[in-house]
Order: sequence, then structure tokens, then C-alpha cells
Amino acid sequence: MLISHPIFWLEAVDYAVQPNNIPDKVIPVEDPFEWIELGNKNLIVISGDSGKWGQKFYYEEVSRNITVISNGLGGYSNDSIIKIMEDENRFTFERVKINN
Amino acid sequence: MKTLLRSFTKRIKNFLILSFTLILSYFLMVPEVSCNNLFNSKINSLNKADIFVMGHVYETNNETDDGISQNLLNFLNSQRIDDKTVGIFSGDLVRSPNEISLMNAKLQIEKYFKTYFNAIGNHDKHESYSNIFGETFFSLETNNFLILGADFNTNNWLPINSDKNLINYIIS
Repeated sequence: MLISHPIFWLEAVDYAVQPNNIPDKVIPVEDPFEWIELGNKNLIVISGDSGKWGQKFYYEEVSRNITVISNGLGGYSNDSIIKIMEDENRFTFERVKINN
Repeated sequence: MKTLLRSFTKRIKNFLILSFTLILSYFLMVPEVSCNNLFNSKINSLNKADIFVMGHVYETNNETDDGISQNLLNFLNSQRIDDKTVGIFSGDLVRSPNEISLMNAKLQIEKYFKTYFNAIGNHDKHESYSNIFGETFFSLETNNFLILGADFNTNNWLPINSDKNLINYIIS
């Protein structure tokens, strides 16, 4: 699992998600995963620069072994976090609304 | 006796040459990784962890409050959080970065999480950040995951080369 603040994978989802901010100097790369030597491993990317404008939780499998998620708080009623619960052999991902 | 001694000396010499060759080849095989990062980075490890992943957590409803969102703090108060619960923050702990606001965020976080990491956000960038939170690169290994985080606030939104190499080195 890779954690980032910027939604560096914007190009991989054709800008389907809106970041809170794209600084003028920033040019997101066309293939944001080219540098990662994954092999057969699975990658989940969670990026937090979201939520300020009421953006919804975003989730997409961009390839066979890469899943991207953006989620952040913005002071809205549907703000949520991600809770991962695991034991020795399995794990669950849950999106949990914080204002319920 | 002399022959025995000569044979022993020869064996020691061979052993030393072999050891030196092995050590040298190990270092030649390691990819280009910043020595500082390689030797200072430790992979934290936890069993059966519950992990909270939280992004853009600064207070947005009250511009005079430069800490963690009160809604999030209320939520955390309602959760069962123990020493094995990990807090992963995906950046923007504070609205305006300065030593006081970052220290305040740290104290707020440490009220809930013994183990926590922050993938630094653009709002967290301040010269005092590393003194308060430590290195921007982090890694944590649990039963099911390897969790890695780095500073992606660059001109192409990718980590610097030494962090890329470190990430690839760890996942390999």
C-alpha cells in the first residue's frame, strides 16, 4: 500500500477525480506507475488531497494489480475515513463516515 | 608441523578473500539508494493491526482553529483505539504550517495513536516539520500489508529518486 498526499495518478484515471489543489508548477506525469517495480504484487494507493470541495470518495482499479483511492475530509456531512481491520489471515477495508 | 601451519594460513587467506568478495558483491548488487535513507529507515512491524487512514484532516469549519478537524477528533473519541491501532495520515494536518500548529497537531494525534505516520501534504511543509515528525519517508509491515509513504509534493508529483529507489528496494 502506498500513501501519498497529492493525487499523483490523475493521468491514469483521465482526471476523473478532482484534487483539492494543483499548484501551477506541477505537471502530473502521463504514466504515474512506470517507476514502481511491482512484479506480480498488488498495489493499493491511497491519496488524501481530496474533500475540500465536497469531492466524493473515489475508488478505481486502474490495472490488473493497481487500485487507486482518494479520500479526504472537508467539513461535510459525508466526510469519511478508511478503516482497515486485519487479523493473521485476512483483512477488511471499510469506508467509515465520521459524522454519523 | 610447518606444512600444517602453511595449510592453515592458506585456508584463512582463502576464507578472507571469499568473505571480502561476498561483501563487495552484496554492495554492488544493492540498487542506488541514498545511504542515509537506507541505513536510517527501519521497517516497523505490527501484527493484527487496525489501521485508520485519514486525509486532509485540518479543521475546515473554523478558520481560527489551526489543528485537526473537531469532527475527526469527536469520531476518534468514539472509537476503540488501543496500542495496536495505527493512524495513517495522508497529508494536510494543518492549514497554515508553522512550528506551533504542527506541534499542536502532533499532540492531538498522539492523544489517540501510539503508532502513526503522515504522508506530508503541501499544507504541512515547513522547516520545522522533520524536527517534529521525523523523516517524511515511512514504512510499516503488518500481517497483510507493506505500507509505504513518502513526500510526493514535487514538480511532477512523484517522490525524489532516492525515495523511489527505497520504495522499490523495500517492495522487492
